[in-house]
Amino acid sequence: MYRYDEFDAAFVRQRVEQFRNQVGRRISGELTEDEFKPLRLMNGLYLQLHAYMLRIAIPYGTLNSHQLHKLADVATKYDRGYAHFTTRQNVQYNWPTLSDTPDILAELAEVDMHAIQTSGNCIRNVTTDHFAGAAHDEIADPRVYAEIIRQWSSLHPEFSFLPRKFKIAINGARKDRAAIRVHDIGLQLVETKDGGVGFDVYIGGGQGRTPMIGKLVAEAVAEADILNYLEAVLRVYNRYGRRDNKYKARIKILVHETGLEQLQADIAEEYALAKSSLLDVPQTEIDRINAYFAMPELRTDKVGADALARLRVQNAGFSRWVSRNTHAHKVDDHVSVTISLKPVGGVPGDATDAQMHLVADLASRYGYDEIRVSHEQNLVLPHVAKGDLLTIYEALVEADLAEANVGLVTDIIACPGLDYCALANARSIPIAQAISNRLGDPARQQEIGPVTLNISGCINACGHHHVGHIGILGVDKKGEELYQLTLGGAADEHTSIGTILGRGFDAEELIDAVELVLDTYLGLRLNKDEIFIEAYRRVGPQPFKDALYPNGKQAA
Amino acid sequence: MSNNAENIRSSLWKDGAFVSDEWVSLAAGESPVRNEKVFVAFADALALLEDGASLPSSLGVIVGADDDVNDLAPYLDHIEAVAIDFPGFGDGRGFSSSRLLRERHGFKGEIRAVGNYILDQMPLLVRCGVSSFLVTSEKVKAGLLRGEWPEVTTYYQPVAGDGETPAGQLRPWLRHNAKAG
Repeated sequence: MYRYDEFDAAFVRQRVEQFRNQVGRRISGELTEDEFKPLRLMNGLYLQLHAYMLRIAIPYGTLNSHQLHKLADVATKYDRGYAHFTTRQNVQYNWPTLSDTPDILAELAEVDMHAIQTSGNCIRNVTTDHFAGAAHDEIADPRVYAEIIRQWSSLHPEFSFLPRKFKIAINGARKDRAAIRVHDIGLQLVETKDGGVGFDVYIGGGQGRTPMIGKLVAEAVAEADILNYLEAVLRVYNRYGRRDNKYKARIKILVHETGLEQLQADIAEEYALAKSSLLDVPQTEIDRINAYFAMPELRTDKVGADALARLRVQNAGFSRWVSRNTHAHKVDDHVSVTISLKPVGGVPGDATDAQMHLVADLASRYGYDEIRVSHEQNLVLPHVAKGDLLTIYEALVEADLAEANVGLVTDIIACPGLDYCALANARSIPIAQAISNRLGDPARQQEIGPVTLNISGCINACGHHHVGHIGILGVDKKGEELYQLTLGGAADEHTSIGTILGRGFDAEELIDAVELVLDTYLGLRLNKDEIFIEAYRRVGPQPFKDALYPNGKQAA
Repeated sequence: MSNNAENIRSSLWKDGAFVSDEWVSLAAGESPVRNEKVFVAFADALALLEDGASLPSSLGVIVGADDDVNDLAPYLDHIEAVAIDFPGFGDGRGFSSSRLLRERHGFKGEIRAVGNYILDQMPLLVRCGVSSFLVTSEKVKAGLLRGEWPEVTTYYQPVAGDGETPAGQLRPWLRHNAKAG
């Protein structure tokens, strides 16, 4: 993975000292909270319902074991022994004190980590496929470009006070595992006609109160030109994006109000004028940085791969876990392992310090020292020899990390909700736990098959409810927490926005409603191979509305 | 933007010090006196420039957040200074205006930031080409007088900031500030 050189290290150290000075001015009273707010928000520090929350960047979701051990140590020393992995491949601490935050950042800087641009109206952490560099279906490794874009966007002098936050995602595989069409900019790596690599650029996707699917704005932009192209898009957005209403300030609204063709022309004009050789990315630099992301020297494990089938026959639980939680690797005798942070009845995305240490140890012993965070809020060991799977599984079982539910109904994405978040209307975590407990029986989950279930505690949609096959949105109706159900969302290469079924349910009714939706699906699917989203696309929302609202009145 | 000439004279920060300000500002619609160094509102300035007949000897143009600096491109030879106004510190359009003037149009005159920016934005504004600051915030003034300049002096972007030089052979987009050492 990418290693800081002296330049990068100096950059982060200076940023920590700059922030320490700002925190000092706040604590001394020189800065009021109003004045401090924009400064702390440029460094991932939020003031939540009960405490400060510090969000740490995990660039494109990539960690090594030292970094994960450090995240665990910070949880022990400065928090309450756990941390929360987010849908943007970052990690959050929920209980730091203000005065500790500069020390936390100084400790993280020792392992090349920081909180730069994890909040504020700037270019946020660039996210990508959690199987990048390992996946069998990859066109090119997206991490090198994510790293180059991370550098270009870090404390960018022109683009640090945008109309609103700005999220970029890159996907390098044929299957979209980075949800690029619901980002401000989504980049899809493609093979160009001359045999090189380029980017299809999608613009104006997003969720929140106005969900929109990104639109293709440019095809096959050359590798060398990508920073120039991004600079042109960001300049157009910085100059013309709306600033009169924060709910209309994302680039999706600019795309919508300007019209794609006009905006495409504006961007093309800006690009032609802005293109500067200074921002060209030379092939030598792409190659040099790409070398940091080279495949580790994988050990040959034909014996272990051959033995796997026999071991699976002997151990049904292990076999189920291998089926659900491993992903095909570029190399036959290896797989990528997803470590579920969704134990039945647990808090989605949370990990204790002991669990983080264990995963870090497993990564250094068996996983070539690499760990990823997925936007589904799980951890991934991208390179694992098949012969090591049983040992890893047994260690995970001991730590309550072996839930065999990746891609199943209990693999729930959820925001922190009203248990933590100052913006939330309703709780998300207890809903996730109740659904998980209700549907957690392994045979039941297996019967239901692949489905995504996403929960947001408010319309800001941090739990990505718009793009869940089943989406749950918490709303506040006259002081009561209600939950709306949406169906038919998807965040992959067939991205769609879910449809609201009807009036909301209270927390208790909701769990029954989710179960009824799934039972309805089981009753109407053509066969076991027709997964939930395919069945929904075939029949539409009506059978589900009929089941949920038998008298028809309250359906949407 | 403030029209208090006294205030302007005592609050101009340039090259690391408060200096006296030779410029005055006109309200919209007010006519310039020929021998003054005057900042003129954007629309009035464009009208003067298009007309060309009654230009003051030293013309400065006030660029509001909504104004398009590209409109000034044909007239830059007649413009001595530009004042970019920040209606609020969260409004980052002026950062683009300054870079466009310096980098795209090659403007060599003074670019001053006026209005509601904060201390922590000043180093970024300098990187975008701003060369002076009209300081109206007491907090900004106090910070500057204490010698604060909250900046990370290694940069990942090649921009037109004064004194920025390439940082090493690798990664051609890296810069550091020779002045900051």
